[in-house]
Amino acid sequence: MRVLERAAAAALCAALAFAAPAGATLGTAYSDLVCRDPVDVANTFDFATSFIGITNCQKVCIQAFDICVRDVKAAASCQVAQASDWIASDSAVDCAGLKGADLSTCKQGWNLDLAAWKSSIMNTGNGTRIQGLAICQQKGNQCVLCSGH
Amino acid sequence: MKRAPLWLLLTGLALLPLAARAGSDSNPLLADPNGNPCFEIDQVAAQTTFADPNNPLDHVASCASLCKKDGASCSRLVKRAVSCQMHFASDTAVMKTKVHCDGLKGTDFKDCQTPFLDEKSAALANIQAEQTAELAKCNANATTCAGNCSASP
Repeated sequence: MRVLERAAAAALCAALAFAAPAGATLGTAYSDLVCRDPVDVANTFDFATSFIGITNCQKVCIQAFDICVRDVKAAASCQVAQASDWIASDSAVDCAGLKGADLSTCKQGWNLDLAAWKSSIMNTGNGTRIQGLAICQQKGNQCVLCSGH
Repeated sequence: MKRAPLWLLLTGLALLPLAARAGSDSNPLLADPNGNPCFEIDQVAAQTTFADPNNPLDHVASCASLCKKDGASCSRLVKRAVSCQMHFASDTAVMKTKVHCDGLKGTDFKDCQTPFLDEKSAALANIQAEQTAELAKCNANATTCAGNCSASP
């Protein structure tokens, strides 16, 4: 039964691409992700034209860009931390009472889930962290054109 | 249809940056004036499940230890939210000052900056109070969780 449940959970994980982890876990610690998505955080920012006409506008643009980058990185780090805690709690419950090979298999399954979840956030090719940073960069690039206006 | 005179267009263009800066309530960093790049501090404890009576945690031998770990996780997330909100309050004050007080000096600058600093102080006080309340909820949930352990075989 446990194996079937885990197989179903893994399939659901794959289907949702970890977009909604609460639906794919036992939910022993959390019901949903608390930390914000790094892409959403980047999209919260809009400073491309905010500093046109002010003294040293390019310098201020760089400060704004740095804030955007810091918050995107903090969101990614927060998601990874919550994912780790969440999976640790679920796996401890799910693998409780197992021994030997069964225990290893059980833990391995959860570790794979965590690795995939982390990768969806931190992957340097298409993770949400790198996507968020690219959005900050785009806004910063537009902003530093302020002195030409 | 009459065309607008050139001087009117030029004046309008010259005033564009000032128009963009209008309204000291707006945050120059954000798309939505009421937006916030951080998650809410009070979302953390509200999203925890380890104190729920039907949580499968209470059937495992390491239940008490897991409750403690989950409580600590909750507290760490509260602190992350607090840190983000504090940065946000400071960033907002700095950026509002840069945009709205640009070019001012001496007393004029201080008078311009004061409301933004007051806004920041009020925000920081609220954040501190919220932190205390939410950390207490994490601890209370951990205690409730542990209580559920002893109630189960």
